[in-house]
Amino acid sequence: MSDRKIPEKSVIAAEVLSNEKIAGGIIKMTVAAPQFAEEAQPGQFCNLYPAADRLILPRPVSICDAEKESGTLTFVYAVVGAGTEEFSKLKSGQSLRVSSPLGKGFRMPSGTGQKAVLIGGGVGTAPMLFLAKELKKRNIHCTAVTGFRREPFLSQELKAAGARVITTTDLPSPDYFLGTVVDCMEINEISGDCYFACGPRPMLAAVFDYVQKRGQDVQVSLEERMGCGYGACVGCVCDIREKDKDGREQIQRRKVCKDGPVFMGSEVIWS
Amino acid sequence: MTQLDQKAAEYGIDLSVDLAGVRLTNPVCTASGTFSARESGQFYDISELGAAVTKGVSAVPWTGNDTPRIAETYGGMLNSVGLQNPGAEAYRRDELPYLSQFDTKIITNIAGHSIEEYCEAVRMLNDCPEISMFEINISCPNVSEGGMAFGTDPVMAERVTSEVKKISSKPVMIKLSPNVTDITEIARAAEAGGADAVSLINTLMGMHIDLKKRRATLARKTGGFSGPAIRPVALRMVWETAQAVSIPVLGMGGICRGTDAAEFLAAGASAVSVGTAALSDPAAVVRIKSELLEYMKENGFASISELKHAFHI
Ligand SMILES: Cc1cc2nc3c(=O)[nH]c(=O)nc-3n(C[C@H](O)[C@H](O)[C@H](O)COP(=O)(O)OP(=O)(O)OC[C@H]3O[C@@H](n4cnc5c(N)ncnc54)[C@H](O)[C@@H]3O)c2cc1C
Ligand SMILES: Cc1cc2nc3c(=O)[nH]c(=O)nc-3n(C[C@H](O)[C@H](O)[C@H](O)COP(=O)(O)O)c2cc1C
Ligand code: FES
Repeated sequence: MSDRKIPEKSVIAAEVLSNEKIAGGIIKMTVAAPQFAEEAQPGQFCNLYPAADRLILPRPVSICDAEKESGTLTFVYAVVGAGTEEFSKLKSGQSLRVSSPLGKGFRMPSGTGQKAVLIGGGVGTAPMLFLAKELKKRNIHCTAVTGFRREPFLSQELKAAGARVITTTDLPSPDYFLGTVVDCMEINEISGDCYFACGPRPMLAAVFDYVQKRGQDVQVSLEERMGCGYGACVGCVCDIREKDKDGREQIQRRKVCKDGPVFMGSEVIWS
Repeated sequence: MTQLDQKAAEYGIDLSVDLAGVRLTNPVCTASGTFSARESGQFYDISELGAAVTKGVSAVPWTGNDTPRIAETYGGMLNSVGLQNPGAEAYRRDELPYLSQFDTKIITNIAGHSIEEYCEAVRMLNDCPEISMFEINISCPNVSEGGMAFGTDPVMAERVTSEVKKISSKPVMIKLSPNVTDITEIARAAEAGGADAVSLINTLMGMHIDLKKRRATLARKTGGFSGPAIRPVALRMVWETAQAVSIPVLGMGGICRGTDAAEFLAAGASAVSVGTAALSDPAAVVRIKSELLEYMKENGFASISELKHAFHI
């Protein structure tokens, strides 16, 4: 058969080049992975494998940046449990097992000169940086609306990538908008030709509501507990609305790690 | 010839084994539910496998359980996938032709809620020449009816085996549940029903509680426990079963390294399956085969039967 696969994905022991705190409980890590940096698409993730024997499952983490020139991948992660705690202790020069870029990332708009709105909540801001850089290459102007419970991060990097950045937090501050990202978009009347969002599910649902009212759609990056993280175990499904060949709507259980993590807001069963 | 089979030939080591009349080039197989041809094959050459044991397939599509379906535990994991699968027709159309281009044996794992459903799935796939053997899962802890009910009652286990045997044109292997007091009783019942082999262990029933969210981590509350943490239980059950029956045993449960595979072979397994290790390391199955080969070389075993006969347990 013509679609026979020769093994093209792998897990490598990547050298950690830097691993630094950028906000409370938030770490930015860069690793050397030239081949993966070459292949990576915005919205894809890598499985990061803890070294401890007792931690047996991969930790899926979005690709925050991929630089072909330096052959590096950057991740931004929150320290929330034993796996990310272990990653946070890695020193430069040590190694970490990293998988090839996985999943289907964001679909790039076809035209140029369009306006894109990128919405990130917390660590969901991470994939927006890589996306903003790729959109800029296509001459698409980006507005990034990023929301944080407390301390914001990645704002400078997004600005350096040419995006207009509007940041919201849950704590009163003169520098930031107080409220949710959707409140912020409503008040600032933010709109574009295309929308991309990553963050907690309630935020994604609210963003979908917002764009739907404008007769538009949004590409959302979903999260689910994963077993394998590459499509073999059917552990990570979500319900997706699809049309069959006769145009009838039906609900399918799709794999977040393989068919996603990016889906159209209109396909997702939000309730 | 695959890379590792070539190496074995250079070492003068014969890795091949016989499993109920089916010749496997080597004893290292996948475990049902942790392998998918297109996805797993992105990480390694499927022709390296002794056999590709595929995900549970039922006569009609099943949607499985709600999420979260996965939880990590100390040295192990829980799953409550609930045998989501697209059904025998889709398996026949999409998975089998793809998998059959590789030089490996295909063992098709069958799921059902009733004897009739098991038989129906077997009937739908019986004439597929690509399939070498059926593995009947009478031990899934994640479905409400059928599944494990057959694997915990010797009378039912014998009945489902004999009914499937009546219609199957291929060897039938019965997959046993560890969630019983005496697994040899069920193994003997399967043998009495005409099973050509037994495979064990399926997952143990387990649970995990999310202290932050203050509820069970899995939507289904309980799930199947697998991975390195269950290995001693699995090894003990394989050893007991291999002594109790005269049909071959496919051993599994927490195998992560070549030396783990050697332990299961020493305990009486004819071949082994690697499940959860493929989640910790996508190419684990091939690594384990390679490590087993090196172990045999270091210890001067020229064949699997030499390895097995060197142990006095
Ligand atoms: C596609 C995808 C992309 C992600 N990208 C990022 C990112 O860029 N930055 C970031 O900080 N986090 C990201 N996450 C969440 C990240 O995977 C978890 O925070 C991480 O796995 C927690 O591991 P732990 O061992 O520290 O936590 P523990 O709670 O100890 O982990 C226990 C188990 O639960 C799983 N788990 C825990 N939380 C989550 C979660 N939120 N989503 C999925 N699995 C979880 C772990 O993988 C592990 O198997 C992403 C998740 C997905 C699915
Ligand atoms: C995610 C997952 C899905 C599984 N699905 C099946 C299945 O469909 N049919 C089956 O017989 N066993 C299934 N199993 C059980 C495994 O095949 C195996 O018996 C068990 O996990 C013990 O081996 P391990 O510790 O190497 O994983 C599944 C296990 C896991 C972890
Ligand atoms: S995590 Fe295994 S299929 Fe998605």
